[in-house]
Amino acid sequence: MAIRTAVIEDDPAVLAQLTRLIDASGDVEVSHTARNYAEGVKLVRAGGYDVLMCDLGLPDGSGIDLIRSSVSLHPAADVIVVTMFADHKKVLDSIKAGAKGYLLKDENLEDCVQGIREIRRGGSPINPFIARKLLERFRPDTSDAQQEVLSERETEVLGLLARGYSYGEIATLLGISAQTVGTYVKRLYRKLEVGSRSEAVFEASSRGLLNGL
Amino acid sequence: MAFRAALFRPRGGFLLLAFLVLVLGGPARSETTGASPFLDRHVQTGTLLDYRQAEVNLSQTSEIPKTGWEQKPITGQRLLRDVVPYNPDKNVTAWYRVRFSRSDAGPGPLAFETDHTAERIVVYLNGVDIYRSFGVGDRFEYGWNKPRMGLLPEALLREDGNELVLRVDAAYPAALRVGDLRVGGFDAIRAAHEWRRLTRVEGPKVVNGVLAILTLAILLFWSVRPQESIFGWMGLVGVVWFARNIHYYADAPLFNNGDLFWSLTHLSLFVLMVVIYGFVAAFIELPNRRRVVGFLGLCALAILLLHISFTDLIFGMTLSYLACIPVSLWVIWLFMRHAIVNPRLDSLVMFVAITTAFLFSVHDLGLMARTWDGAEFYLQPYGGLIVYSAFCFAVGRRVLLALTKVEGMNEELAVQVSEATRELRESEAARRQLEVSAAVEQERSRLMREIHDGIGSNLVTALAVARRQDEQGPSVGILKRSISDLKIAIDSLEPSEGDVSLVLGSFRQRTQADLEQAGIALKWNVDAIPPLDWLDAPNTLQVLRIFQEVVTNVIKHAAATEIEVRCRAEFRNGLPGVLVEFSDNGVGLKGSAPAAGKGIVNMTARAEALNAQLTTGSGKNGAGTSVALWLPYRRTAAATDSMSTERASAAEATSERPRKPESLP
Repeated sequence: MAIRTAVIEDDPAVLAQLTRLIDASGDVEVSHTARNYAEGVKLVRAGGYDVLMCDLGLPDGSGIDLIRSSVSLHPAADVIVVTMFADHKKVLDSIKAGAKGYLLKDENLEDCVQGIREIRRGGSPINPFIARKLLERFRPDTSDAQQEVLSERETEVLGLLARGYSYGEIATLLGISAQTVGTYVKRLYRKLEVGSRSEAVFEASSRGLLNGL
Repeated sequence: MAFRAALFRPRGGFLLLAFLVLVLGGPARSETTGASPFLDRHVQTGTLLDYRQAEVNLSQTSEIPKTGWEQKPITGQRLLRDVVPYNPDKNVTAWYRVRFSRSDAGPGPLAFETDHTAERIVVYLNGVDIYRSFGVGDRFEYGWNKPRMGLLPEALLREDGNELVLRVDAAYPAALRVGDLRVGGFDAIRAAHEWRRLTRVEGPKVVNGVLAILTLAILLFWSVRPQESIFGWMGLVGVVWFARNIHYYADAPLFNNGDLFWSLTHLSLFVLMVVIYGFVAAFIELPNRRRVVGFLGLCALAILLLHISFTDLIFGMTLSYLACIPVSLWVIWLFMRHAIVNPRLDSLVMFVAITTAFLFSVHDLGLMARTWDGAEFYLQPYGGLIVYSAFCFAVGRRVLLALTKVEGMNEELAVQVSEATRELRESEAARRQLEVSAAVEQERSRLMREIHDGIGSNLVTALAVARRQDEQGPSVGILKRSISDLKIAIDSLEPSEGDVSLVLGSFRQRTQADLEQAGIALKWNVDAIPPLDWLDAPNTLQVLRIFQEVVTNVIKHAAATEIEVRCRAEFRNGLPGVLVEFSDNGVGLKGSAPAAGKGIVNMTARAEALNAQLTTGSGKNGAGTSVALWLPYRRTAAATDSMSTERASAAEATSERPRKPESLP
């Protein structure tokens, strides 16, 4: 059965290209599309997709919200963020909201089918900045004791990712499969998503403290 | 006839004088050394007839009895205790008679004196009434502490066999007595009498005046700060001691019921001990003090009731005085312990004062019982002043200390305030810093959005259009480079925190596709290295531009099939730094187009602006090209940020010109 993919994208050119590329693949198909936030809300509510590709910069609302509601309504569906230049903060925010991967709109667009397949197989893409952010986020000496800490292997993988190594290179260096590296990353995204809920509370309270001064 | 001639010795007088001078602040008189200032030299050497025995007659008559005289010692003897029963409606009487010759008493006018009489007296010389302490009727009065003196009229005196008769009466048989009886020259008698009056009567009055002022001040203070119980207790001590001192100089009971007044007067010593205990307990903050004071108060009430129900004054007096002993010893013990545990000046002063007062009381008991003469006057009233002064000193010192502490606290608070102010300033600065960071981040986001929605979007669309028209057309390359430049500019804004390997990693993401398209394999060999402090966004952009130039050159001119990127820590000239090396297996510098050489000039300029070093050479095995950028950990002082930015901008400006025509067809 083909992987059903829903696409929320306001740029018609990008949407057309994505649809073309995905439909040409054979094992992946575009099941739903939405061109703005309002349509996106309906799309997410209706469900019926395996993968949601969501643009963050929608004209009438935040893609992050859509990601969040998709993750809570359809936890089995993977979310891929579609972004122009991998604005890392935005990517990180969407990972916190529950996204499992991201796709850059420029030349990487051709890789979208590959990315969708990867995600369904359990792997997630990552870039060095995000790897580094994850390393900082899960550094054992920071913040509270309750938070999850990284295993030694996870730290190792993230360290290599932050230095620009590819999944394949890391797999060779560590004697594991590239698939496993992707799985590590997906797991870390999950940890970040869970961690971000308590973090939000912490950030809110620390902001309150700051105001109290 | 027995009499004893004695030189007048003002025993203990100097002690009191020193004390009075001290307390009242009066100027010391030069003649006072070693003797009473109230006697001149002549008088001091004069002769007095000091009677210790007399003929006593206990006939309850109103006229001088003719018979029934008996020789007895008179000093301090209570005569009728067991002879006459107490009758509140009728005074008991005793008669004393002494004889003297004119020659024994010396020349000049003569006088008599008694140091005290209990209570009223009438004096007869040779049968003639010459002195009385009262006028008419049966006025009740006190003489137990009153020295009395009278002139012996020359007209009544005989050369020999002068008869001096004292009639003493009192309400209580037990109280009835006379003290020392003296006859002598008027001046000597008067000097001794003045002294006695001063020490026995006037002194306690003065003391009470001082006590009254101090007590009023203390009570006033207490009324303002009623929560300070120590002042309440102190005021109470003052009031009780003042009340007790009254009986030393009162002529008669203050109110009609003489018995009650007398009972209260005796009881006052015990009450005094109780309130002193209350003060001490409040001062050293003893636990259970309320209960103890309550118990002692009940004791005082019980003693008072016993006083009233038992008519025997001596019994009542003894009872209340006996009760005082344990309490006063207890108080002394408390003070001693406190003084030992807290060897402070105020504890010591209070201990000494209370011990002195206790010794004074012992002295007074002996004096009253005529066990000893001591100072010949009662010291207890003065003890009150000593104790009260000590209390004032201690409490005053405590108040002073508290004030000093408050001042210290003020200083401490000032320090804390300034500390808090400093912290506030710091947090304010931090907040502003945060605001700046937030503003920068916001501006960056806005720019990103601008690029994303505007330029970027257009470029990507343009690229797609250009590709559809002609995949190999010149505009495809320009558009791709524009997008690439834009992305590098954006990447430089990402918070890399000086991590060169991270910058390299992000650079790889941007160039990987280009390299793959050019059929160049990438070997990645990047070590983990510590961050460079100086590598901020503008400097990162310079570094990224160098990387970009290198990779562009390789793609365009090197005709290579492989490029290896290595990053590791390396020392140069003894300085720590990071070496980033790009080695390809292409044609090498000599074989490449001259444009590649221009590119190296640009890169060198950028590297210099960063205080970094750019070196070029052959790749592995002498083939291809190797470009290495060495970045120092610490930049020299000469290379400030502004300078580097300026020079980098200059490099940017110069680099634009050769690049543009090169990229165009």
